[in-house]
Amino acid sequence: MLTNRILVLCAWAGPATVVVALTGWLIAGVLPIPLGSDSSVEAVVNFYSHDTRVLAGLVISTLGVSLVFPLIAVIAVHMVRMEGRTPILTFLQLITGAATGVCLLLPLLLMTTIAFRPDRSPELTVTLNDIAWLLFITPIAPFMIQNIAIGVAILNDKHQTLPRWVGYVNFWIAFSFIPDPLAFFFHGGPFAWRGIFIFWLALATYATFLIVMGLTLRRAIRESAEPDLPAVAAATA
Amino acid sequence: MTHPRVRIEPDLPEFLWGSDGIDDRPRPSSRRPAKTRPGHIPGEAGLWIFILGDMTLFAAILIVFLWERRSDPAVFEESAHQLIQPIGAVNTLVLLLSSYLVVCAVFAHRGGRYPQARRLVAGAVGCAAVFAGLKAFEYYSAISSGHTPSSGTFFTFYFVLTGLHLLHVIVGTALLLVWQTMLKRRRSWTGSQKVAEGIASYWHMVDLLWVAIFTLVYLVSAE
Amino acid sequence: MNGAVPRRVTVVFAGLVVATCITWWLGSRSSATGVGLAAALTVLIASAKIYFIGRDFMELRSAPSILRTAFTVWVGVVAVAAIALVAVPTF
Repeated sequence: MLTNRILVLCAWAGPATVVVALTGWLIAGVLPIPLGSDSSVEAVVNFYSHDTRVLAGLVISTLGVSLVFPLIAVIAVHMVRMEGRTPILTFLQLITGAATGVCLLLPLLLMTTIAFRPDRSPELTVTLNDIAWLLFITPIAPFMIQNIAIGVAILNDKHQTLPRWVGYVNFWIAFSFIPDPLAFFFHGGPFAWRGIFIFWLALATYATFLIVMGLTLRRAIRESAEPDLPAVAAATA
Repeated sequence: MTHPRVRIEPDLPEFLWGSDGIDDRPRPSSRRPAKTRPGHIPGEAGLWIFILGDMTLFAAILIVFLWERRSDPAVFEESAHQLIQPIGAVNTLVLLLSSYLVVCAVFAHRGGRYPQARRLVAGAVGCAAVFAGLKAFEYYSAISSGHTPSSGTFFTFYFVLTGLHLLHVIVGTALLLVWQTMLKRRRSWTGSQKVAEGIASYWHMVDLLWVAIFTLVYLVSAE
Repeated sequence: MNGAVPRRVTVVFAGLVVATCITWWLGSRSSATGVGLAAALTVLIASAKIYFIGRDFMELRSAPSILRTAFTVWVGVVAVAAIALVAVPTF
């Protein structure tokens, strides 16, 4: 059935986001060590001066993070099954999920724009880099609301559409984003934007979210696919 | 040929179908076969992923805190002495008491003694309020002495650790109040076991995390 | 199940209170000598407290062994790491 194939593709978009975005970052040089708030002006300018490589890598990463949108959609389809007639949490997840996609996309596009003219005044480059990174790291609310909505829906689900541990994992992921606004207050150390409890923790937990949701949804789609056919066939007979 | 009560209309979104979202499609029966394991998981298995994950997060921050301390133990010692140790110790005892009350409340709920269970949970909530009040006083006193989260590594970790912990206390208190509502409605143990045990386990985690924070941030740093 | 709290739990609670007082006392003595030792001892006592909170308050002693083991391993690993970072002198 075409719908099922689309659902499965959307579920795969979750892990695909991780692969494509991280590959893009590796090419651009954002990984393994991203620029930090304590990087010198020369380091920042030097990073963006490798413009072709940085541009290519960042463009790939923008395509990568856009793959969260299909995942959000397939999550919503399953949340509707959990909720029934008044799918408020489904809508919440849709809206905040869409917002998270934008919150991921815009900063990366901004970084790409910086690499567009590497011979800019260094002050401008540093300022734009600050804006890009802080915009990327700090907006925790859409992400947290999305995760909490998913978690609450799963735990209140009478049909066990998704395994209950996925709900708890979503709560834990939401919690892991809490320290991120601290990036505004620190220019170095474990709570700066490059800090281990900010960038690295959020990267690890968000990647976990994408992979866990993608894989468990894929399994849920597969398991509900078989009984569907006889029911629909009988109804249309 | 008559078909089930739900008219499946494949063109409409699911939530506009006839019944209240009650899925009449046959569910895959043994997706998760019930494993007969010896032993009883307090709450439910998924919750422990959250609890252990949360504990690991705090442990990571505490380990990094100890690591940072090694580069400047004298500064850490001096900063730690700015904290009011007795408040930390009293808070530890207060949370231990609240955990004990929660254990008693679980047993009372199990035994169907609802008024006693309600009193015990109320007691635990009271302890949480005392904890929060003392913490507020501690924060006020620290900030008015000029110590803020940006006053150096020690105070950064102090505020982050105790702040995150306080958030957990607030969430835990809300959960205790949920349990209290269940007790007021005299929900039977069989209907509430998972939820009550889950809430209790979460609260014990809050207690346990504070023991770790008090030990490392208040005591060890000051030694 | 008559729902009475087993005496074991009350004994554990009393033990936790005593342990807290001991560590508080240990922490308030400022001694230049044996600093690493006092700190290590404090961490050890605290780890025991955490273990008992898990075992008796969280009722892990009647939980499946995999969960109990996971919790015990967690406490052990964190305790060892903490003691190492606290007691081993900086070079």
